[in-house]
Amino acid sequence: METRELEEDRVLLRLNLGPQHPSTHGVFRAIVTLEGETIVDLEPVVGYLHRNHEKIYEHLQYPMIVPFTDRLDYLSAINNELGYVLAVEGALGIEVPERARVLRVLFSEFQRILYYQLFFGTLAMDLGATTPFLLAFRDRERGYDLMERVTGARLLYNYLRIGGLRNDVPDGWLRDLEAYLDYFEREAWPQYMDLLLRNEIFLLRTKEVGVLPSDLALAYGASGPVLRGSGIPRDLRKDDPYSGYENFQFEIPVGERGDSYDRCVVRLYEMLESIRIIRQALSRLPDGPVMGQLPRGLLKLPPGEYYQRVEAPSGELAYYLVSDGGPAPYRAKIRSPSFVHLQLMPHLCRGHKLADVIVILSSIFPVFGEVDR
Amino acid sequence: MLFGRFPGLEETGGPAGFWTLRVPPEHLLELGEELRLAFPHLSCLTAVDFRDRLELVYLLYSQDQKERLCLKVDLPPENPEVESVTGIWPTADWQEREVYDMFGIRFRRHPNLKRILLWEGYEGYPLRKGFGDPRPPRTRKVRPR
Amino acid sequence: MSGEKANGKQRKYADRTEPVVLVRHLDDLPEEEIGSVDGGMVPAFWKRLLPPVILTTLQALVNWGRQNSTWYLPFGTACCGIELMAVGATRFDLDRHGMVPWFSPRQCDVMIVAGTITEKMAPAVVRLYEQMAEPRYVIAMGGCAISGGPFYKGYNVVPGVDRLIPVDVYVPGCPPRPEAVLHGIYLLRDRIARTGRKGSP
Repeated sequence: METRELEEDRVLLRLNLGPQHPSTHGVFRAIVTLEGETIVDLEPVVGYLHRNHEKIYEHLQYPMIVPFTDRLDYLSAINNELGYVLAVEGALGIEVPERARVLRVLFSEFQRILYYQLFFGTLAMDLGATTPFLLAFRDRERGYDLMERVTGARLLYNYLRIGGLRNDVPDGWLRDLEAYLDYFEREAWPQYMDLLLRNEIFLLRTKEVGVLPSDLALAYGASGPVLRGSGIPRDLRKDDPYSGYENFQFEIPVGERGDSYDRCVVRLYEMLESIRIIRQALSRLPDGPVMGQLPRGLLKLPPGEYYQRVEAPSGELAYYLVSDGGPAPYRAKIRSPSFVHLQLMPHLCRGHKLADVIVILSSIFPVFGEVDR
Repeated sequence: MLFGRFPGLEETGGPAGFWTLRVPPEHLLELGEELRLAFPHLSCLTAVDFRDRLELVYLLYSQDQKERLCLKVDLPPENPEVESVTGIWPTADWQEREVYDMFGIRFRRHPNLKRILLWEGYEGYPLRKGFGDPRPPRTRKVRPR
Repeated sequence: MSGEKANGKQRKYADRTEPVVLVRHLDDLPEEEIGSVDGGMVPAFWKRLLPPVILTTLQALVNWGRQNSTWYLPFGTACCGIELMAVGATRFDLDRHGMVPWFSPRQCDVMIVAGTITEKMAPAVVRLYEQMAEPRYVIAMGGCAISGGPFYKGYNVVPGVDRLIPVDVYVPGCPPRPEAVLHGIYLLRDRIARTGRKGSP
């Protein structure tokens, strides 16, 4: 903490926020320069969870990397796996069976719902409302149960494989999934809307807070709900579809002003769109194998570079793989959406109060496994 | 017509679906200014250490996400330096810092070229091929209770 | 430990492997001094007056109080942090065990280190541990906190938080199931219950 005297009796205070603090976003540190309560500047410091994914991947064979990709955006593990697996399959030209493609879409959207439930819970908790957090976890636990029946794990699954999936869904699971979706759409989601979005305190604290103009969002490479909250209807599932997304009908919720409120509401409505996609997937799920044919022996990618983007719940997640023909990638780069979004923090926080920093950070929702890799 | 304006620009192989150009480092900024309107979305900025050279890779997309462009810049492994493109694509800010942190490539006129994932004073550039962990070899010692 | 700055400047790794003498932990106290472990609740002249059987019951009472209201500092860094939140949430409620997540280390009894600790984060871990008041306990939750986990080869990963601070309970898993975390917490409560008794671990 240091102070600097300006003219008259204005004093600038430099304060350290983090890396350990109650806001549940993990290890984020911000050095804020305050004048009174108003923020003059904010310098984000990251790297407290830099776990060296990219270096470790250079020593792992291609199939061994899948569980590590889980740990990037650990709140919605399947989306990360999907991006990586699609990159490798594209490189090798592997045909994935139709049932596996539809199931992958189903699981990606299901993970998106779980991610947004946690987003909702932690946003509310950061604002001081503790009930929505418990409600979100009540629903997320049921989601964990479903995922556990299929994959065996609650949070980090290692379920997708290069060429398909590890195993098919058990009997009765699809029926239970449909029951969960019915329950969520009919009972839980309206509860979320009522508890938070009709709450005057929430509205006061998130409207006009952290306004992100659309040109700034585009210039800084924002993607996902952060970009859509500012009014740009860009969604990689529509613009650059993968794994059969072109066959699904869904809308893209878009915000108006680009403030924290819009980013929150966009995510809540995207939950409904994800439910819609899952129902379509359930209705058109074909029978068949869930694993395609792989080349025999050690998996080696032809020398060259490969780039694959997916629409993860946090935004545009991409993998850039460089292969020299060996069994491990020569270089693996993960383009992480949260890393790119955190650059926006200074621009969004200037002029706001210190308490708004937490709200803005929550509305951007960086996941630090992804930011620091 | 670009090739006439920028000598040394050549088409080369790259990621599937990308039109890839190899750009001499001194022309990067000018070329970027030309391409800024057509390719406003810089999706990824990264580097690869091919032991005899460092290759900077810029992956660009058009506004409708349909057109793709890849720019590759070759740099020598000792004292690699290139102009920063944050003036053209502001999203490059932290991505260039990460490349500096991991590879040691300096970006001229970058607004804030500091290490981002590791800390100031860290020695070594981890994603380079010759990097070795600077810590002493580990023994299985735990803090005594 | 001294001389660190808030901006995360690193001491050299070699410094950290030296044993640093903090205030001695309960379990290190020799047998004779165990009676004093009531934390100074009973003034010395009373201890001379009262027969020993009442002191033992007092110790048990104190232990019971301490084990049933262990406020924890959730040091959740990564994926295990989410599972820690889930353990504290509706289904596996920790509050019914008296465990309240409390973010001020000075008022906490146990620090649950959930997630990978990196070299950059290490000074923060140590500083928070030092801020805790005795008696304090540490639970290392998840593979990363025990030994670096899947990332043990990383150049920025501390291979186990027990290189920085003494750990009482190790809960393996990646991430551990909430039932496993609860089992670890029960083990810790048993340990707290045995404090001050002969043969306490």
